[in-house]
Amino acid sequence: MKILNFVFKISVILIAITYLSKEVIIPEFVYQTNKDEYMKLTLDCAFAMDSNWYIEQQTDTNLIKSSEIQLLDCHDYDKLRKYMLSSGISEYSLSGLGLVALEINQKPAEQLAKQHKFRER
Amino acid sequence: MRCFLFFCTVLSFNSFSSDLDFKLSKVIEIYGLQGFSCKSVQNNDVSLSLLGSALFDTKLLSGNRDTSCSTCHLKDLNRIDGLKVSIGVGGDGEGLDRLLDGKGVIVPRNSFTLVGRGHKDYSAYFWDGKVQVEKDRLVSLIGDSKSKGFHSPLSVAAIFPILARDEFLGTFELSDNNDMEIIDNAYYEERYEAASVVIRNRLINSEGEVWDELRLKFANSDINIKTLELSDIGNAIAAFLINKENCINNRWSKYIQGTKNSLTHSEKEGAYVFYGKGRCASCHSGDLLSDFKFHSLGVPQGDVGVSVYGQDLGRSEISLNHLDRFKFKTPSLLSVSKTTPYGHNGVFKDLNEVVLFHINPIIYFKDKEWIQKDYYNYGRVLSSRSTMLSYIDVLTESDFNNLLSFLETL
Repeated sequence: MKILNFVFKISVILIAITYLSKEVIIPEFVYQTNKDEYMKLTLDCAFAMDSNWYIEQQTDTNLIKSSEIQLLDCHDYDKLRKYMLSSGISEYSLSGLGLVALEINQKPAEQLAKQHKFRER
Repeated sequence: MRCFLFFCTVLSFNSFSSDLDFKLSKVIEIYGLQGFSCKSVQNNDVSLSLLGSALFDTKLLSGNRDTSCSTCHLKDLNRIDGLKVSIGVGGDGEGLDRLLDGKGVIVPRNSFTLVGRGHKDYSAYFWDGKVQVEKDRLVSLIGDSKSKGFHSPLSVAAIFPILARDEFLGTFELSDNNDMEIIDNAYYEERYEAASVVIRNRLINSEGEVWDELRLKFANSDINIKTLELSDIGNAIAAFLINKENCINNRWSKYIQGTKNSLTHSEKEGAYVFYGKGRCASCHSGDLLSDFKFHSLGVPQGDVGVSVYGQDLGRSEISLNHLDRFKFKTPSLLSVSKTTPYGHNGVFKDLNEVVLFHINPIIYFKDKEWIQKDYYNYGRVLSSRSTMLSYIDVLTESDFNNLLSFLETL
């Protein structure tokens, strides 16, 4: 009976650890270790697609090839996105990271207004 | 706790890292790269190499007997002279010594290395492409090259300095004969014929040990100096360059051919920038790293140039087409890190400066003093700048530095 009790407890602990790992620890760990790279690749891919739009309007084949190579950044972005999703990170979290990435280069109005204010009168 | 740490370690190994080798395999596939091959050479007669070597080094072919091919293509400097623009006839010494000597005539273009010039796909020579392969036809100022017996485009290019006043012919003041005048007064095919006659007569009639040695080398190569043509000299110099100076085993070629550890991580990142968002391979394409076409970076004119008022109109001096003004041939980047300075007039002192100029020319001018010619002229030059450059997407210091690292591997 003692053994059964021990096995039961161990099983409960293992199940709890597995559950916590799958739902909380792994997603959080993967999120923290990859979020900077994800944001970088989000920007890189957006940039590559943006450039490609204009370059495709050109006829120079070597220029178009260079744009196709640049679009491999989007391949990296897709791979990382799928890896993070399969690790349990939600679509919402990734969308949030994508937004943060796009906002990195935005300047707050306060920063722009600051240089136009009197410092002393 | 141990299990947890082990688990985290496994996960961290599994964290995402971009597969650069995969990306570069796509680069190689899309651009059809094979790596530089020393075996892919232009037609040549290897038995002429020894004679070619002697002709490359001899000053006897120049008007005042003071200049040889090796004056501007020094062996110790990767076959360049290390100067912004070369010093031709009338000078003494080599490289910086020749500049400091101060008596030589300025050749207003930067000397280029000779690596890869004998490759079968090398199709335009000189900054303005005055010798060029066009649809299997060799176009140059001396007319049909096949009937003259030239073996290759390189053998035609090899004789052009001999026909040039600043590079070989000599100055009126220093000349002790009228050889220079005979050649300089003739144009196009007649210039070729005139130079052939002058050099033939010199070889037959000149006395002295050095001439005897040269005559012996011609005899050993089964060339009869009584029927000598300039093409014989071009073929011999080309044979020497193709068999002794053409080959390069650079690390990028090794990588392309399968040695994946021949590049560092930073160099691989740089290669990805070069072929991708850097747009470098839009012009510096193929295994020779040049499209052999003509583009303008808007390079400042500097002090000297081949055109009126000391300007350098570049390709348009050959094509006479207004669209070609201020354009120059895309230089091959083989051995590029070992061939400072850069630009058709050598105004860029190092790789950092010339690469940055592609991206942002304004920084170049920040600390430079404008010479009067550029001060009033540069607007015209700038308007010729290639629109291709507007697509460069290098926006970070790390991309730029990686790009420079990659250039070291070429």
